[in-house]
Amino acid sequence: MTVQAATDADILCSDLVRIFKVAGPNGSSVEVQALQGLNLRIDPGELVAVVGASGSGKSTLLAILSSLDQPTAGVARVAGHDLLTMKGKERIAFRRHSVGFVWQQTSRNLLPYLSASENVAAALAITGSARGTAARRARVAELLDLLEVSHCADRKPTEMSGGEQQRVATAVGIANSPRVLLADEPTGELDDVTSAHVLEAMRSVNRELGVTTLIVTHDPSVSEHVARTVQIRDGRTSTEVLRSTRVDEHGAEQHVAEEFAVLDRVGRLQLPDEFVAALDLRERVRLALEPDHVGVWPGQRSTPADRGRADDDSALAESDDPSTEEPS
Amino acid sequence: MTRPRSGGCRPSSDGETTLTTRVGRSRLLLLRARARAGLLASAAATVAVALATVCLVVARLARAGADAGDPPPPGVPAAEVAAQVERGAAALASAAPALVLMVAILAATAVAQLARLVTAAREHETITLRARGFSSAQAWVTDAAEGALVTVAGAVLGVPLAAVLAAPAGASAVDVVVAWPWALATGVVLAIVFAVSLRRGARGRASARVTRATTGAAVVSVLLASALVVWQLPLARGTGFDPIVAVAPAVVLMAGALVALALFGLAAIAAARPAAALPAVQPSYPARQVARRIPIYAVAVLLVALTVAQAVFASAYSATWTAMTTDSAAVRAGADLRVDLSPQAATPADVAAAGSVPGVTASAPALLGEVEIGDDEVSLAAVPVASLAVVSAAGGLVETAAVEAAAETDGTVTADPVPLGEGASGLRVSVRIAADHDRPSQVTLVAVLLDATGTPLRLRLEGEARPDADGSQALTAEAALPDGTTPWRLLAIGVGRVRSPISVGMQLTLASVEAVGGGRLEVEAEAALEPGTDDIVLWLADGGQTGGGVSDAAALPVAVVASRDLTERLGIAEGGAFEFRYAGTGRRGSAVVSSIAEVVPGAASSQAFFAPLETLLVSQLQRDPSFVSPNSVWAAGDAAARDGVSAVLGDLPVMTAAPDVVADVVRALVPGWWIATAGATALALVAAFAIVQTLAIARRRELGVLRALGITAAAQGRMRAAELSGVFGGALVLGGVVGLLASWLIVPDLVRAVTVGRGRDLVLGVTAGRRTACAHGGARRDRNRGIPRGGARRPDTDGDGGVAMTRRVSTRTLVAHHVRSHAGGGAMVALLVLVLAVLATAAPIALSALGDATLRDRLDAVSPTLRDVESESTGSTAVPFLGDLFLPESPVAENVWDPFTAAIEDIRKSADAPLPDVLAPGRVVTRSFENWFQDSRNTRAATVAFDPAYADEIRVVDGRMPEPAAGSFDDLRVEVVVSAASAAELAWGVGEVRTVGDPRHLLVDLVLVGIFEATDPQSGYWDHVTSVLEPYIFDDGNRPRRVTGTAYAHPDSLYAISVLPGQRSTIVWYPTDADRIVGDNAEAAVAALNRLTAVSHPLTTASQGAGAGLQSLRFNAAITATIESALDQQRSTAGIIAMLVAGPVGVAAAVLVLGCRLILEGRRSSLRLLSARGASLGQLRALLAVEGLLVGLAPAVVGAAAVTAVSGLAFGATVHGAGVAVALAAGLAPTGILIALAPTVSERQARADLGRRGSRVRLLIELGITVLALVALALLFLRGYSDGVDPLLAATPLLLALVACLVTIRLYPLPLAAVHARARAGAGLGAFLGSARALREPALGVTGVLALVVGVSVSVSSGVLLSTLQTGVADAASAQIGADLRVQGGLFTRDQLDLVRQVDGVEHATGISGADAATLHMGERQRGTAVFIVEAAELRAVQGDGPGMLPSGVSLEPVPDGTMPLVASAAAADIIGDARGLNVNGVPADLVGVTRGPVPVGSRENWVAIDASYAQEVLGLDPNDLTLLVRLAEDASPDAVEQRLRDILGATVRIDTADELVSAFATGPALQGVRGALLLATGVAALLSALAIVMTFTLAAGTRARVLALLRTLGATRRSASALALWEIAPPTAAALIAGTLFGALVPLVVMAAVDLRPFTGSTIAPAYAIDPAILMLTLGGFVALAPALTAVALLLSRRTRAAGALRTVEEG
Repeated sequence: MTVQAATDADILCSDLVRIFKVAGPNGSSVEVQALQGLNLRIDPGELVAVVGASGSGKSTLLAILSSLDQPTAGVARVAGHDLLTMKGKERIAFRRHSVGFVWQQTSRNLLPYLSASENVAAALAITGSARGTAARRARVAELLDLLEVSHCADRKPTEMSGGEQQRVATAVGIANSPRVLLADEPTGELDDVTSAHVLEAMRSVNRELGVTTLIVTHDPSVSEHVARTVQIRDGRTSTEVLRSTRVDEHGAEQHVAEEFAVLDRVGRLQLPDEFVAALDLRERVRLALEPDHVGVWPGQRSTPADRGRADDDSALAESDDPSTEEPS
Repeated sequence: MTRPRSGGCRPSSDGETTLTTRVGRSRLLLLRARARAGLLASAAATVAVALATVCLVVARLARAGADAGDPPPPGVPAAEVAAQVERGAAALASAAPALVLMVAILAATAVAQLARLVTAAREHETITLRARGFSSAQAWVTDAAEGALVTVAGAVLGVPLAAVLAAPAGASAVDVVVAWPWALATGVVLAIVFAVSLRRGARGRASARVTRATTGAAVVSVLLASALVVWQLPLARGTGFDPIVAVAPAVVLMAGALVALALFGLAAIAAARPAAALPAVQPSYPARQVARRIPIYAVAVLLVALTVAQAVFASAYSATWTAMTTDSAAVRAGADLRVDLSPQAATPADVAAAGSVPGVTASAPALLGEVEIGDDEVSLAAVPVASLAVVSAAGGLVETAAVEAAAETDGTVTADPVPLGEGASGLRVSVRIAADHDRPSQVTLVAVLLDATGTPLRLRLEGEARPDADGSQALTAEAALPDGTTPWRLLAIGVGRVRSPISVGMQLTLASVEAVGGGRLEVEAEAALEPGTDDIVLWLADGGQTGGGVSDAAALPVAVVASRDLTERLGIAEGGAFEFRYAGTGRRGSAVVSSIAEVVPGAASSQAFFAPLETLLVSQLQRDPSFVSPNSVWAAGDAAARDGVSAVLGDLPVMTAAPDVVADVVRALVPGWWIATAGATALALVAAFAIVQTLAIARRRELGVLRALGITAAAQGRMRAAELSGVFGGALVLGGVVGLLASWLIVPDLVRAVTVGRGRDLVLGVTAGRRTACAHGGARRDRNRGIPRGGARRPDTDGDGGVAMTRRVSTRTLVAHHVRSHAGGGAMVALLVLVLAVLATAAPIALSALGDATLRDRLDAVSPTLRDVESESTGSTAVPFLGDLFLPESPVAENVWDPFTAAIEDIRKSADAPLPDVLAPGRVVTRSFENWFQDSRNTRAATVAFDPAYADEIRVVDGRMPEPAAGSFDDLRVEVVVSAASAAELAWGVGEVRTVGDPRHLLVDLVLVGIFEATDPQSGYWDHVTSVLEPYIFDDGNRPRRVTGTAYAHPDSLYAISVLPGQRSTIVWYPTDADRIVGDNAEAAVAALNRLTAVSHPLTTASQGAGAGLQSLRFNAAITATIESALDQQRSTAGIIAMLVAGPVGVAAAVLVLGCRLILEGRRSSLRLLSARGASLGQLRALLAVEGLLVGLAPAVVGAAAVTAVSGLAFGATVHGAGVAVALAAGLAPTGILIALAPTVSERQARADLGRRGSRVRLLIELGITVLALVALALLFLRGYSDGVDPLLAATPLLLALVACLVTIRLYPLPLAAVHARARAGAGLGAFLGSARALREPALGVTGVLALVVGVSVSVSSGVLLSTLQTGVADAASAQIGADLRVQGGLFTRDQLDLVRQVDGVEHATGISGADAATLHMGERQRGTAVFIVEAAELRAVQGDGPGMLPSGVSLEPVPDGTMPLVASAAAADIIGDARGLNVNGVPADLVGVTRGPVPVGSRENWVAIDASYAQEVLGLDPNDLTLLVRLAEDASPDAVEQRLRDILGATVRIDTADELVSAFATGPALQGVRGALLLATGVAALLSALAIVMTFTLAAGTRARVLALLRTLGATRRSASALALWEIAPPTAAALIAGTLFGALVPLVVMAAVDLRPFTGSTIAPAYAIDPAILMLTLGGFVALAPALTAVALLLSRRTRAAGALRTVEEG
């Protein structure tokens, strides 16, 4: 499939909705909304972590991005493929050449009866790339070297440590040179030190091969290893943490992490839980536009007259509209 | 309506306005309906038309049944008419539902469409009502009420409409009213359809996917149903109701219409594309409209196509039916009018009288009769060539040209009668007689004349003989010609001797033949009237073939036209010859087939031949001076002349070529079809109107837009017209095509199915055309198939194979590694395939071995005389041709025996395969019987035997072997040898001479030169050549004792036979090696034997010169009957086994699927991963296919090869191709299943949020299976025993098992839910959790339950069938004995019987006489029967209440002053029927009981039994007993009694007990084979059930393990784990046990209806259903023990892998 030049982002989700229908008792069915209008944009070469608590929808997001699941509504594009309209042949090509995966369970990433090199070779065999035994062997060695697991080449997954398994899994994931690497809780079953190794390996892959990498995890410590961390809550992206390295005035390297709230196209914004709890924000808030920021106040203390006005405005959070007058 | 409108206001009395409150529900309903009055009226009209059509159709058919046979055709008895009407009505009942069904389908479609219109019109109203809280139940009620309203209105309109139309439709108003049940049923159906359609329309559409799935399933089921119909229709029989016939037209037309609809859709879309490209609006807009609105147009197209198709079908049906009935009636009658005069002969006067009746254009005599060819009865029809015009040529089935050509075939008999001239009034014949005695006998002259029609006449000529000058006599005789059709022709002149004590030889010369008034005829002849001969044919118009005299040598065959059935039966083609015997006479004839016809007109059976009467007469006269006269008068002309013809021919019944009463009744179907078609057209019009309206509503907005675009109303109208005409035109064309196709497919078979009688045998052109077309189609397909085979090979995707590697990176090695790992699930499948392959390969071998054993068993029991193919000729010429060898010096062996045996060998060698192998070289023995010794006349005689190979059979013990005879004819000494016993009885010592012969002629001296004994006394030779080793002694105590011994003379002494006075006989036989007749060649052997015995084989020796001798040999092969009965039994065995095996085969398939699912389960995670990495479905399939081939094909090949090797090495049996094919199919099945199931593992692609599907499809599938099972069951019971293995009927048990399984699965949650409700309240965890899981997560799915149900049912039905067979055998045996002991094999006197009664241990004894012929008189009818004399009281005492000669509760004891009581066999009772005035040989009798089944007196079918006190009266004597029946005392020892009986009755008597018969039968291979098959089926079913349980357990292991792990963490004990497992398996097992037992008890009933079990029990009645607890315990107990044991073993074996694998994989939810 030709990659559409029109999209410059490698991963683009816009108002993504996914509704599951679960069979309830006595034949009825219950709907569960896993994604409620999620927006996410990842540019080529970025390394992004998506974090969120259990049930926040991050696994659903990854299943959609890896074309294992289909969204109910919205836009989802990965490496130029439209995931909503993708059909059989395109899906296969997508999986072969556009994305690679690493999953949480080490056993799900690798065929248990094949050695590390064979697992990589199997991935190559699927696409039929690296034709010829020598070429294939060279490619396998190259990938295992890149992830520093050459010593495991002839070991089966059960003979490797968890970290080695995940690194081999990463090698398998990038075997066919995908544009995007998706990792679902790659460190979920690992201790901290091993996790750090795995994440570093991914980072080096991202750095050296320029593969756009998306890591989904519930582990907040992951954010320490990536430049951009996106937080998901209730099926929406809520905040982002951007990390950068700065050289301070003393010449020392300083890691700076800044947390941002995510603002979507229509101006919706999720306030962090601590903020809400601290100010006891409920039902509605009072907004005020200042020259360089927007102020938010609890709305309960307002007069009945104010409440009437607030009701009119409650559905709108057009705080970026400079013409909005400050409420009295 | 006069009522004021409700809701309106009107002023009240006090001036205020009040609302009328009459807004009751019914009122509202009426108002709601009135708003849509137009549409509802259309619906009512539709219902009215439908009801009227149904009423009319039914009324018309009913009227046809009622009117038939009124007035009855002349000469046909009323009972026969009634029977024919009944048969016709049955055929109608089969065909009529099709008509009603068609109308109902059309009406339902139209009504549904109208209902949809109504809902569309009410769309807003419905939404409003729902928003106001109108409940679903309320909506149902109102819609149902509306449906009822419409239907009632329709009925009120329709029934009177039908009554009005009744008269033109050929029925009466009363008939219409009588048809109310049909109308009611149709009305109810339409009301339901209307209401349901209203509801469905209002509820809105179901999801597109569900609709598509449901529609697809419905279409598939209709197509499958029509395939079933087309397959089964040819098997439908003409008698009784047949469901296939009833639904065939509706189903096939429906399927055709659906296909047409699909084609229409495709065509519309295809047409819209190019049209859209055109710039103009005109063609593109209508085309796209149609393409867009196919769902709306679908109904219209369907209706129109269906209606047109129905019309086409109706016309095809009418035409075919008319042609077929006309043809069949014409063929049955043979001519337009036919009067059978039999037993009187048809005279020229009769034929002329018939010809003179007004309306008759031609008349002719016909000879109709039965002849015998071999053992077959064949019909003969002969009509003079001169009058062939009378033979009906209906349908071109008989070509008169062929008959004419036959009369002139070379090398056959020709008839060349000499015309007497137009004006001849008499015939005068002069004969000169020269006698070799002074006083010649007085002779008479007879002329055989043919009149112009070809009617033969035997004309006796009167005249006196006068002495002539030269000592001879001259006889001139003449007679006048009688009434007849001139001109006459002379066929033959015969001379008869007036009987006198002295018969002298005379030489006769025909002096002159003169037609009185016509002149002299050119006729010359000369013949000798030998002494002892009374009649000869002096002259015969056979073109000089016999040279005036008549002898066997000149008997040429008659050229005949034979029916195809006959030639097929005889295995001959055109030019083939056969011999026949005229039934009931010794007369023979020979014929050669000059051409073959499909049927022979006028013949009573399909095996028949047609001969020209003239040549037939000549051929008869060539052999014998008499002929068989024609016995029927045929006439061509108007059927109206039947009464006139009947009157001139003595009021005899006239058979006409008009169809009979049955056809009269069935004829009504033709107008019925037309009425239905008319109704359908009306319905289609109504529906089309409704659809056009729907479109108009849908388009209302579009019109404005188009107008705004500048398209005028007129242009729009034109476009709409184009659109509609396109749609309806297309539908018309498609409908016509569908109708033609449907007619072509089923009309011939349908017509045949409703045509009763011989018309069914007719092959119509349509059918033949279809067969050929099919053959062509097949060839075309084959050609097409050939193309891709040569096409390009798939490119090899694997680029790097073949290099040895240390690390596996090449695709091939990776795949190999993948397949090798995790092979656990595959092992089980491989094992199953291995077992199946072994069974499939071995089963045909076992079956054929069983067939061979059955055949062997039967053939071994046959005595050599019946087994060997034998020819016995007796008479003066029954010796090998001696030629001129009347000189003792001639080398007899070389000139007589060698050519003779060579000729016999030729016959054997030229016989069809496998006879040359089966038959050993022939043996010949020529004997001269009973040459009385001169010295002891009438007390001692010698039969002199000549056998060229006699030296092999005997060994001389005293004296020497004989030398060839010596001396001249007047002093002949023949040396002979006899057996010791014969020598003793004949008092003949070695060296003594006995003189035999006629003292008036020549005497022969027989010299005894030796005494011999048999080299092998057990040899079959002695069964053919009897009374050799032991002399024949006749001694009845009244006359002197007569002894006849057989003496062998030297074969070269054969010429002595010409002077021996005894009767001559030559037997030739081929010893038959029955061991070489095996199952495979049995059919061929029967055919070859039939062929061998059908013709007489000329002996080449006959041409060697003058003299007398055997001209030809005719053989008998009694063995064919035995082989055929063995084949019958084999077929029954195959039938039973097929029905029993169907169940396990179905389970095997299910288990195979289960096994493949197990493999997939094991591979699921790997495959999913590969799929996620981008492996395409094709790659996954290839991976799975490799695995499938490994676990499937490999074991299949191994199994088949193993069986082949073992059977070949150990038993020398060859493997059957079919078995290997089945084995390979089983081997390939896993691959196929894995490939088919591959998409399920790759990933979940279905979106769970788009609604559920499947439940409706499941319902449809279940419904389909149920309907199929019911149809199969109905067919089975309606059609009875099938001839071979019919796949549908064989699958009936499996289908029933499926139904039982479905019912089980649907029903068993009910009690389980109750248990669960109770467990909920209880405290125990096990019961609660277990019942909940069993209810919500059934571990044993359909497959498991099916396996268990089938397993249990197979074991139960095996038990019941075995019980039934065992009981049947026992019953048959005890009925055959009829007592405790039966004694046969001698003549038993009263005294002996009294002695028997005095034996210790004998409680009662009685005798039954042999069968004596008697005549039963039933009113006017009389039939022969056999009478057994019994002693009624004694017989009852001996028989007790058990089965036997007397039916239970019937007494034959004479009733004082009453008529003679009589017990009849079933066959005799059928003959008697319910006739009154029954008497036996004139003694009035009363039928008191009927004995069915076997009896002690043998296998005779037609007999009656009476008490001994009537014997004198009925038979004129009291015959001796041939059978003794003995009842033993309680404590008697049977052996001792048997010994005593032998002492009294002689050692040779046969004494049988029931137990001996039972054990003899039970050890027979047939019963053993069935028993083995039943037990094996039980075993296999147990194995399969165990496998199914294990596999489902393994499949469910993951879930269970998780539940257990959870429970363990909650602190549950280990016991709860086993309780959980028990709960998983116990409920479905219990349900399956109950369902399987119930249903297994039913299967034998099905088997007994489909398979003839009588061959297994040796009884004439089918065994009754029986359950023997012991046997049932054996089979069911075996299953119940075996299945868990196997399950346990399999679980143990699979435990480790299961535990390891199942617990580790945790699937994400």
